[in-house]
Amino acid sequence: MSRLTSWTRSDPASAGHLAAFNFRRVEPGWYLLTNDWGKFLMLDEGDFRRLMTGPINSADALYPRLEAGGFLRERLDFKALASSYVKKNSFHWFNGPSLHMIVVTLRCNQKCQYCHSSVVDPSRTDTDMDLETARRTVDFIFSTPNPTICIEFQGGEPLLNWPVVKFITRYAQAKARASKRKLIVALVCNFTLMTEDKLDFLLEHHVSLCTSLDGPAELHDKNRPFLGGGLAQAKVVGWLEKIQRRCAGEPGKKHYLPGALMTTTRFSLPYAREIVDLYVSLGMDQIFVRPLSPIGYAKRVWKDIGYGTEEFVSFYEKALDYILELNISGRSKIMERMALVLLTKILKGEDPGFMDLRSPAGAVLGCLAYNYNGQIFVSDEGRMVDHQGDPMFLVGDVAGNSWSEVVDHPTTKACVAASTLDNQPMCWQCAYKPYCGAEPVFHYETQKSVWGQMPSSAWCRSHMGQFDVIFRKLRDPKARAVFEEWMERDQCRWQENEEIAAGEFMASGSVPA
Amino acid sequence: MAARKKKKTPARKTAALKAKAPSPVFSSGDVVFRLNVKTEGLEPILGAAYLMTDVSYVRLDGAASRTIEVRLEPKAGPEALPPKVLAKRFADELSTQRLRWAIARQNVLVREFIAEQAVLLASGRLEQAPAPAQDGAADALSEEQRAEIEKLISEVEDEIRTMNEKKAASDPKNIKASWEEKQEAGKTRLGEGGA
Repeated sequence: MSRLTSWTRSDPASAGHLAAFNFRRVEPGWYLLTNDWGKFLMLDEGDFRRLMTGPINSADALYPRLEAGGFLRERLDFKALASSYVKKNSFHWFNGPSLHMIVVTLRCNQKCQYCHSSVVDPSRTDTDMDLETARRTVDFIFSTPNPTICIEFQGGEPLLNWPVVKFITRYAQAKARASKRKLIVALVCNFTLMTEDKLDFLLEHHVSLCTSLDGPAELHDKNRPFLGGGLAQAKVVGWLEKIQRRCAGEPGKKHYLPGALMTTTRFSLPYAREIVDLYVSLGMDQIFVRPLSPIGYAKRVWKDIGYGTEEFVSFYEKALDYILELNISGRSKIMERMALVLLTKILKGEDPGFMDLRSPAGAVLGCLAYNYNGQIFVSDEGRMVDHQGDPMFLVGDVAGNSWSEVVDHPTTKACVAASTLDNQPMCWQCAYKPYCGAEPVFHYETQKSVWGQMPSSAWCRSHMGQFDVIFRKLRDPKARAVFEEWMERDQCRWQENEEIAAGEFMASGSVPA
Repeated sequence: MAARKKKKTPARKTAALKAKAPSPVFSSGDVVFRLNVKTEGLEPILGAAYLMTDVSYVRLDGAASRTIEVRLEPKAGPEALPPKVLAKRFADELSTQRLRWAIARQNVLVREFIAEQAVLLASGRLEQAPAPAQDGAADALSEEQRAEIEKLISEVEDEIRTMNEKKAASDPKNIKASWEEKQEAGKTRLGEGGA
């Protein structure tokens, strides 16, 4: 069956009265309608059929629901719909990239089964970013136009190039102070090389911390072994707990609580509940149930660690169901990150800043990745493709190119064109179009084209599956109540962050206590 | 007598949309449709063909202005579809594509307008979007409306006057007057009395 819902000849439809919308039969019994402006409506089969077969008159109970969402052609509130469009696409409006991922080294002390980074041995110091390149990288970042800058350290294992991490943090904060721009600094590391001294520096300089935690020890250590063997999960959990205790004990540090991400491999699939239980036991307020992408090294070993999209969607739903069960019963308030991203778009009509689900995608316009040698890529995945020998997504170099040259690069334009959903023959007709995105690097790696071919795209199948899960849950009043409470908490978290600046460096130069 | 133009009623539109379903030909395991572009529409044909690419290899031949032959060769694998099922799916896709394209065409100007408004709003060049016109909104007031408004203004002016008089009566020493009111009152007394 096609993944776009059919409306066949046997059902007469008169299209003349219909406004612009897309539709989907998410499951038997009801249809989902959405439009460009992010509005959605769930109609039972009878109401949907009535809508499709003839105009709805103003006395009909369906009329006000259709009118409120911009689904009545003769009752469109242009001003309100334009405002909705502006709000949901807030990233569009001339801002430039906000997320800058700096790979300070390719060296790593772990050999994760799926590592995108294609890391090298810890002895390979020739793959460390040097200070001059670091300075030029920060200078380039500050030449980009967005008033808010987020620098995210990645690797390899960034802590293996600690001096450059410190330098970039200090230099960027000085430049932010001088230019009165908002700066957020984040470190993504495996925690196995963390020390008290490093932690002191990071907390003192408001650096947000995030690590990988794939699940219980036997799962995490299978996915993410140390080079030469050894148990990594215990170290990760140990440092998570240590940092949590430290943040709990210091005034004003509650927003510095570290985050964690999990990556789903084939080995994870039987353990949805156990993974969630671990995050709950550690007091984490969120878990991100992330799929594995067949990019870079993971592509080579996909037959050993990968899985089908239906398997992932099933795993995702099991995990989400369990998380909802915990919330409804009051045993935990843990939230699921992808659900938060999708619900922010669906329920609040806002952009959550998630680069992969934007139209056009975040490549260059939302984010840039800087390799240890100063080369600039459309994204970290694009950098990974280069590491495999294909420079397709290289768009510049901090030593020799300006921001305008990077944004004007043919690869940038190709990525933007290919990931604008209105240009995609299937996406423009999909009910999830207002909330979705197409990732050009993923499609290049899996289908040999930045455009991809959506009918057979694993990206499309996976995201469609997750959207189906979310919209099915939204029909359940108890699940919906949990989702709305998450929206409220997530909003409060961001508002508090703006006041106390967790991981932020205040533009005025004042460093919060 | 001049021939009357036939109005396009909803029933006629329905008939136009509901063209006779194209018949497939099964040939060596493939499914072949010969489609009249004028009846089916070029975009629906291409759209339906594209949507079949997950389960079949799709070959298109013919002239975009007249007849297009769509040949579907089933792909092997776990999602392989028998030719008859493939044919039904394509026919369904084609029918739906005609509907989707009809909706899209008739709403393209509206979508473009709203997108344009959004760009202007976001760039600050649209301070206030024009309010939608009310049904039968009149720019000019009728005599009756003018009279009603004049009456209301007069009543409110009386009310203000009465309020001030009451205030003066209840506060003969002007104790409640603000600093500015007192300053204004002082200037007025000086002006009246002369130097």
